Amino acid sequence: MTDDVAPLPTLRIHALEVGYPIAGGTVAAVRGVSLTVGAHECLGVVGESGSGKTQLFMAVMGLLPGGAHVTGSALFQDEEILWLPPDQLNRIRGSKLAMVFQDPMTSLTPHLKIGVQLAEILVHHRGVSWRDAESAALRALDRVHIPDPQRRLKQYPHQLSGGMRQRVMIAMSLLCEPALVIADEPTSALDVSVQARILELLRDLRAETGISIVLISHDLAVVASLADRVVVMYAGRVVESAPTEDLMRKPLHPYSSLLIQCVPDLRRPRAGRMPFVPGQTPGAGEPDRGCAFAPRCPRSTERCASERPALVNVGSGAEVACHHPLL
Amino acid sequence: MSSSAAMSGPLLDVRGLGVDYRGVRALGAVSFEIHAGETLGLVGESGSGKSTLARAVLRLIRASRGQVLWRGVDLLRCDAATLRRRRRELQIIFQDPVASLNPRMTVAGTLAEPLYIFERALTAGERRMRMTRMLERVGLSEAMLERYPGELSGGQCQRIGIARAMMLHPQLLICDEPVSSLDVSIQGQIVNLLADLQRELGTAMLFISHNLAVVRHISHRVAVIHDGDLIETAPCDTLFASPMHPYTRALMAAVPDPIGWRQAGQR
Repeated sequence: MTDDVAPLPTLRIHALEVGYPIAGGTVAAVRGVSLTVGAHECLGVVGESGSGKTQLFMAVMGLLPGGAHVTGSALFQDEEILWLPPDQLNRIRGSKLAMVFQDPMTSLTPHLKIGVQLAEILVHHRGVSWRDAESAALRALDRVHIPDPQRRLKQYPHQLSGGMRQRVMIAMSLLCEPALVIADEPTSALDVSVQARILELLRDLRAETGISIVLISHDLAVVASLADRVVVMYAGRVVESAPTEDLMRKPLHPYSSLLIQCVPDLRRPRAGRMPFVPGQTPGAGEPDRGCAFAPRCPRSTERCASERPALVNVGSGAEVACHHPLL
Repeated sequence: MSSSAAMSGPLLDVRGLGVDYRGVRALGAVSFEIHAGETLGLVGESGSGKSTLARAVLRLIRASRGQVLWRGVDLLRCDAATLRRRRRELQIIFQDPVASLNPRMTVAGTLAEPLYIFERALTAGERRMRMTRMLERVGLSEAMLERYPGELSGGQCQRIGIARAMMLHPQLLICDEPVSSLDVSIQGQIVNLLADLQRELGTAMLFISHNLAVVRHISHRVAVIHDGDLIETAPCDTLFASPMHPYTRALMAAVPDPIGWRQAGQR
């Protein structure tokens, strides 16, 4: 966040592309994304379904299916992790680099007790004894404010509510004291009140441990309530990146501005129409020409249809890719 | 239609409706009314009983107690033939727009099905015209008819779900979390569409959601459900301006307000 002797960034992604070969060509999911997650920083990544936000970080985690074609670079603590052999990647994944997925119902193994699932991570990555691992698991559940953790350790996933399971997933991701946690839609499957508590938990954990977090969501309200900086993705590219407060107060890209208008506000008198972004995201395999958002954009001109706007630095830590930004 | 409904009181009059699953109480004893052309919003969290309520009203699951009076007839006790006749007047759309369409059926097949069942006298040409008109109404083109759900986006699938439910011009449409699996950016499209249909066709709605902003937008009255019971019912603006029940207040407080940006920036 500050410019003086910045510590080493936790993650540096450069020109990353993800494509899937199909008969007669390639379908691009991520089209050249570069971004940095600073030490202790929480980076929010917002975008609609199909914007490539999940694909980008699945590529970083080495979790894409075999058919995916990845190019570019991802430096995690200055080490290139995109091309690591599985055994070396597995040393990092789950210990220094962890991921929390959207669906807490399917992310846990149904036939293993919670305690076993937590403990095996420490046994595997740290080589500690099962006994020590289980007491660490107990502390981990306590840390994410699960009441009566002793009893929960002996339960199976189906005996826990959705919010409780997501807490277990977060506890699991923190077990080996990672430098970076990537949370992909961690609250989208949860009720609003549970969502609020999970976001609060992530905020507290960050203050306590100083971990870096990448928070991915289609819901700008969720991202903005935790992130220091927000990256807006559209059709596989970054279209705007700015400190959260600047983005929320004065978005530069018309798309960001529309997303902000879609954030519900119960305090405002209700309008006649509920705000939305008109049209729909381009389908996979559509020609990649000009600005991908142009067909839905209220400010688009002929130039937008033919010439792709580059992502340019506009000062105060903000970048935007638009021919007609809201300046 | 509207005058006869006005004479005979509410369209739907639910009295003490309750559901137990193997002795576990999912829905206590819920009572509410929906009048012709009215939208009742139902807000509650996971496990509060809101989907159980929707299904019990339509007799998709067995109610343990209470009455569901649909224009004076108790749907829970009427015979199968009456239920079948009445059901064309009540339709439902579900949360997962993709899963609620048959993946092996084209859009045309899906939309034609209610007509095959309830309007057998129609010719193929008439059916096609009804389908095309309904597609246009939900903002889709005729070209969609030959497509399969797998070729459509989530928002498009939900439009098809709405079109299918509206094919028979029901008097009551039950919407069970119709937008919660869609991106925030396009939820407004679907909510506005439902509001338009409601206004143009006079369809009454039971609009179920955990999302307060969405419910607030579309409802005339709002009921809050918690642990299987309605704890507060009020006209929409009254409820949001001065919620009475602490649980309602807690629900409202949980809506994220990023960096307190609204108070500072928007006013």
